[in-house]
Amino acid sequence: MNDYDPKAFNWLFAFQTWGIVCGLMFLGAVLLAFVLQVLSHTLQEFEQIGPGKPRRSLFQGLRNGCAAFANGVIEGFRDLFFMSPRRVGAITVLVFRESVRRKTLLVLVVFAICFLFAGWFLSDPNRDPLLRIPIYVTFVLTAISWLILPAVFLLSCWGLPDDIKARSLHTVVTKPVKRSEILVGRILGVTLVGTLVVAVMSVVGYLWLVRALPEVNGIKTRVPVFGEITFLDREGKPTDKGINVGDINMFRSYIEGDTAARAIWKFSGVGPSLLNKDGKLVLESKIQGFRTHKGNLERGIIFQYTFVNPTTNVRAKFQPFEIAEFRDSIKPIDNDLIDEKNHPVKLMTDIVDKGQLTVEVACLSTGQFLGMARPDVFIRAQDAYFVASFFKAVLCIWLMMFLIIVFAVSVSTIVKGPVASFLTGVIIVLGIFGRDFMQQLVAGEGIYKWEGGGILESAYRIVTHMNPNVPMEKGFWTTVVQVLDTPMLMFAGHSRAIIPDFDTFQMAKFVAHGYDVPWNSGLLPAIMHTLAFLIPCVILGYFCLKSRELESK
Amino acid sequence: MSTEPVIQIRNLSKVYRDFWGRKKVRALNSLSLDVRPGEVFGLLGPNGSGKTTTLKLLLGLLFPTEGEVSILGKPASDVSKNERIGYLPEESYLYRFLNAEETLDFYGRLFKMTPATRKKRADELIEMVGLKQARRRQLKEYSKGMTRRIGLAQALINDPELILLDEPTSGLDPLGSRDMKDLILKLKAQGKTIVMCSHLLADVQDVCDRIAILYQGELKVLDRVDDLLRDQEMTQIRASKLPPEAVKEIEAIAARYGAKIHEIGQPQNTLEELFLKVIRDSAERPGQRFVNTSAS
Repeated sequence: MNDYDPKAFNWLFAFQTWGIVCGLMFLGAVLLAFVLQVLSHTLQEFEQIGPGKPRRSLFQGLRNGCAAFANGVIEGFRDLFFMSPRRVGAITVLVFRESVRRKTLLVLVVFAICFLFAGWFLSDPNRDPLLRIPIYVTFVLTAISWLILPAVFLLSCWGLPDDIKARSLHTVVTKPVKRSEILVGRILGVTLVGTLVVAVMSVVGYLWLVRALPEVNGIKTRVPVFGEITFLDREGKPTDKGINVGDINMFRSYIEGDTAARAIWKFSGVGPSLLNKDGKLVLESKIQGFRTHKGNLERGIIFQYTFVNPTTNVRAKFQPFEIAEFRDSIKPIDNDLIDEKNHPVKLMTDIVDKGQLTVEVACLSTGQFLGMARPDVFIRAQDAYFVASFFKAVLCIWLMMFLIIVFAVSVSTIVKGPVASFLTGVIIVLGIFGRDFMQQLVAGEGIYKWEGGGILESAYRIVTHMNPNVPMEKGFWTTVVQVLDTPMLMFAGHSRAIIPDFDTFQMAKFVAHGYDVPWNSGLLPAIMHTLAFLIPCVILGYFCLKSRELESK
Repeated sequence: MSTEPVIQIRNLSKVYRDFWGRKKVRALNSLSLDVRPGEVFGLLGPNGSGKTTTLKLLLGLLFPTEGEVSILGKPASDVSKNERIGYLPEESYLYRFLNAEETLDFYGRLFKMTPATRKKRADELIEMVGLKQARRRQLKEYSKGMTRRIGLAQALINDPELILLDEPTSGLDPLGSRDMKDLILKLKAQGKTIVMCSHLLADVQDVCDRIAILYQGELKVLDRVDDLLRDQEMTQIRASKLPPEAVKEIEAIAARYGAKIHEIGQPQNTLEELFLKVIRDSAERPGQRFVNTSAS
């Protein structure tokens, strides 16, 4: 899990973003539908009444359009909320049969072939088994993802358009079936096939792992409890970050040795449940060193934990030790400690303050630096079983698959198979590779820093050849342009949320490095991400299918 | 039985438009008609006259440009009306990867039918359409006639009150065609209302009570078949074993009353009647041949 900082799910931010993006999208869709209804009814009235009475045509068109729009919305939400499980089940079983008889399960054969020969190409059997585990685990999880996703992608994108093209759907809609039931049934049908394939692949994959690496059977995964990190500079003043020693990414901040510089972790929810069976609190760290001189070649860089109670100012130092570079350092902390005044103190009662533990990390080697990021020091709770972590990662693959199915089936309600494939493919590629770029672009970060104002202001500057660095003249029209730009910039800022973040579902980074897949920063974000797309996709997909004239020439 | 019309169509028009909303073709123009309960109603017309468009508008597969449609007292856009409707499309648009049993079970599940009822109904319909031997074969292996039969079975799975048949005899051999027409009459006898569209005039004449003739999207004729076809000027006598002397006497009587006899002779059976007779006789007496050697 190098250079990865798992963030706890932020409910408020997530709901705020979801509300804004969905709200804007629905507002746009509702306005468009309303305008189209009114326009089509008005044109119809003009045709019927004739051009002689435009006011009457306009009035009747507006009235009929509003009525049709209101009816459509009411009927739509009734269809969505009152679906028949029997009919949805019938369509689900139909899609499942269709997929199976179209030989979708052949993907399992490809999977089997991959596993038959995987051992030839993976790592050297003489290598340390613990180093082989990440490679094997990543291989299994990646194989499952890369085999199931294209299969469900094709089934979802082409199923409904093929059904419409072959007109077999026409016979179905002449039965008492709502369009919402067709949409949901199809989503569930493809999901059922995908679930079956993922279940078989994951069980086979796990058994293969156990057979290839018998050590897997006994290993457990770490359950980390992360804290929040702050820094003190070399003079002991609080600062957000430490020193940058030249890393471009600057994932880690560095503190200078033998100065007042500190990295301070604050852990919340610390209680007896986090102690191991010996009654000790286990602190695990993965701290990097940066040497400005060779120093003592016999020893590594020395660092020290100090446990602090900020309320009573009790400070207890733990014995200094060397950093274990490129390896994990595990330190069980005894409950009995000695404070700076040589008084015995108890970790869990005298240091831990209202469930909060503060740990200061200091570098004791003069002229050397220690690099740390938030996830580099954590409390290690009771270990979990590897098998549980592995299947949690599989669950996230399933969620990603489900999201792709929902998206693709919804898109396929309005466009044909090739277009649906293209659109879904673009979304997947952007979701996997383009999120950071989009983030920088819409937030105006880095090299994409916004210059020259918003959309309208920029357009004005382009037309008038005005340099983006020259400020606009103050006046009425400048204010108007800037006021109009504000919501557009807000929309642009949130528009990246329209693309799913597929990185949310990648849990191999946890499992492969021996971590349990966390609930709050792993599973929960993945589940919420899926739900966030499920609801708007189903509503939009339904209205698209509902408004579609299946027999249109 | 209620006398309320089963289908009410008022000023129904359909204009097909292109992507930009420009008019392409007016497929139906101000059609108004009623279909009464218990009758067999035929929609007649050449290709492109608007028959199938009318059926699709009734079923909600197309949205009307103007006008209103009411089926069984509900608007065409209301899917709950389909509980009481059966539809046989022009081509049997079914799932080719299913077999006959699965097809009927699937369509049965779309209605409020218990598994036992579905099974019983499916068995009856498979028997009725003569697909007992092929009930486990996937539809992609079916001939066109067999596909039409299973299509008919799915249309009847819910024991509908109103049955819409689009070219019901299309793709059927004369025997199947005759069976289909017999079935339509049987359904009528059970009190069902049937609307069929066809351009095979003989089929329509055989089974329909009333017909509407459409041409270029407009209604041209709407009346009872008997009334439309009856020739008030002519009289027909059909008798068997009439000796030549009797024929001469009839001619004399006709001359006495000033009538003109257009034709006296032995009437010809239709080719359909001959074909059905040969097939039935062959089934009863396998191996026997009916070849007129003098004609060869």
